[in-house]
Amino acid sequence: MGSTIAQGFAQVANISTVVWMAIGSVLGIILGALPGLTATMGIALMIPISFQLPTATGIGLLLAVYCGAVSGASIPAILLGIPGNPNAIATVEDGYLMMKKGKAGQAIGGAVVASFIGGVGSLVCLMFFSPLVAKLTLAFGPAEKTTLALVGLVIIASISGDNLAKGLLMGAFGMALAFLGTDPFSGQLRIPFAKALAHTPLAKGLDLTSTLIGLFGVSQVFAEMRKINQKTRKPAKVRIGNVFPSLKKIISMWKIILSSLGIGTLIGAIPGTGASIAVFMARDAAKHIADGSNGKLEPIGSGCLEGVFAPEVANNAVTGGALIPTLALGIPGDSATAILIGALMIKGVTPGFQLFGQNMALVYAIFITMLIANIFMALFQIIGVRLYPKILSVPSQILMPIVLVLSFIGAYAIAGQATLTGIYNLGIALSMGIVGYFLKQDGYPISPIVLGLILGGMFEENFRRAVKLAGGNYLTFFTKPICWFFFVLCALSIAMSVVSRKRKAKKV
Amino acid sequence: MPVVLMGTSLLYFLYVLSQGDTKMIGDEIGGDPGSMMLPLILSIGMFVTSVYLFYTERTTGEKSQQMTIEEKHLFTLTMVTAFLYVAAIRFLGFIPCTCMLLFTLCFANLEKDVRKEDVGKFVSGNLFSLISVLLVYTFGRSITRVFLRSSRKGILPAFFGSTGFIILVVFLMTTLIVSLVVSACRKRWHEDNTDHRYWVSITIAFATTEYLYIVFKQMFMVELVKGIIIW
Repeated sequence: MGSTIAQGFAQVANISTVVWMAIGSVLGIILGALPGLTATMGIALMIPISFQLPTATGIGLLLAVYCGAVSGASIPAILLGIPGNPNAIATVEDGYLMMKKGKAGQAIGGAVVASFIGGVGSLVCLMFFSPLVAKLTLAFGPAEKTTLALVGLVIIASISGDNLAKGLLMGAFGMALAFLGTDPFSGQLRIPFAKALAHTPLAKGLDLTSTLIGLFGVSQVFAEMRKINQKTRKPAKVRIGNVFPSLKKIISMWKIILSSLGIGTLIGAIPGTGASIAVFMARDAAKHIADGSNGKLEPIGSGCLEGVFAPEVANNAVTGGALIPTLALGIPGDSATAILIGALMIKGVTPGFQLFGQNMALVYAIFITMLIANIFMALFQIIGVRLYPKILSVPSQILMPIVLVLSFIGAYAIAGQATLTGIYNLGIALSMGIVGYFLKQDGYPISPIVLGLILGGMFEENFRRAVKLAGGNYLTFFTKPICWFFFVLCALSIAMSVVSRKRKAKKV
Repeated sequence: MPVVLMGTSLLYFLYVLSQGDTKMIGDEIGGDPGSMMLPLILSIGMFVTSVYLFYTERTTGEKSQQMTIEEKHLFTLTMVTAFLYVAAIRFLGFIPCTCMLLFTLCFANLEKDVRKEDVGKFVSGNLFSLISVLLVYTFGRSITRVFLRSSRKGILPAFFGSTGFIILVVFLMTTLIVSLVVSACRKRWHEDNTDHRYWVSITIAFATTEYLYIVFKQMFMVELVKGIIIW
């Protein structure tokens, strides 16, 4: 084991990894801080660059962007009262009140410390649990893998968006896109106008990176253009003041920290949930803890550090939690980790069953880069604390054209030396951008498409293998206890989603 | 949208049927469900869900936020320029297309509308930003060639011909030029008027294009389409 850790360390112990991760961290913080830009979009835009780097360095860059963006979203939440993305939605109330009280520095510093605790705490959980989960999967055959892929699809479809049918439809749409290209078993071309397109890059199916960039980058630009002239709130002159909260204050919040860490990691580990759910649960738990502390802790909602700490620990704990199913099962925890899986697959690394058995050194390298990503996130956020109000004043009128060009060049660059493939990729990114835009406008969630696209291949391959092994007997899926477990999970997920939506509708 | 999705799933169903079924290579004993089965199930599932959404959305559908006329102009411009970018990049090349896309969108967005009377500014701005980026590009190419040739001939130590060093020099030179342009223009047009937005857009267009060229072409050796830039 010691030598494997050393091999993992050797993969990241070079100046290139450190420099790229530092760049990724700063970019992530800026992306997270700018309203309209998300962690998922940031990772999608960085894939072409990570593709050019060695595997561990490339993954390190993406993780640095991920951690930076999740944490950076707290900056506008505190300074403007607008979350950079949904991850910081629960930080707004107390963070903005603290800013109004002249404690902006304390709020940002507290958010950074909380993010660091959340990130590192969940990393410990990731290091402990992911090998255990991966070990369990050694017993999985094609039938179990088929139902596992189904679980991933159903859970994310049932949780994302406000409408279960829309989520499921988008998951199916993603799978349909995954089936385009060459049939892995017979070599038959499965694309429309197969004769005409047989010798084009489309014969291999839709390029994953270009599709992701289109769905998350280009479509977001189009969506932002709809409201480009709306007045945006600019940061008032902010007095940053003291940045770090006292150690005594942090220690006094240990119950809040632990509960938020647990909630964040657990929610993150459930595929399809994500930070926006975890932050509200953590805040709610913190409220109960603060109310029962006999005045030792300030009440949540009064503009206090407790109200910033709880959601910020939780949203960064989600990053480590989401990586547990991502690495161990190949099932992404949220849309950002779905893109990470895509990036790994482009690098020829298949997360899940084989990764832990065959490439443990890379797994350790990923753990180490995750630690570095959290350290850099905290470091650069503290160093740049006085610069953020300036970053927030960059208008989206300038930002959006740059994001559009970055999306295009990202899709193109993944082809490397093959210019024709690059031009096809541009077409895919633009088409997917338009599709994604119109779907978003009508309230269709995008994440299930990505899941369908990533898990579609795994599902089909294992489904056909399982049925073939059973001699054409489709009931083979109902003869295995693990499959039953996954079917129950699917049913529970759908049932819970229906119940929670009905409750929501009643409240409205 | 449900109608579009219904149509898509119907077309997908017909397409899958037209493709025919193929079996796994080496499936003599049988058992492989074939390549058609899952896509057919998917298309039927998608069609049924779309029909369900068609009926439920009709009763609960909400209208999305309306765009102002200016936003409609800007939105259309973005779509059109994005299409033109993809269509023209093979013939015009990366540098001209990127530079023109950036200037057009930045200027239009900063002006908050697309107006007929701004046509002159759009044309001249595109030309200026293109000329600027070509000057910087040519300058960068010359530096690269000088260092490469000199190090190969032994005039300079081999280190000066390394990719890392050349990228650093070109990057610093570009940054210096951009900084000079920014500070000069800031003194000339310091107020928030059309002229100010005009030079801001030109600077963003040429600087972003050049930096992207340095990162992707020089650093990662991506074969960016040359198009009309033949040197």
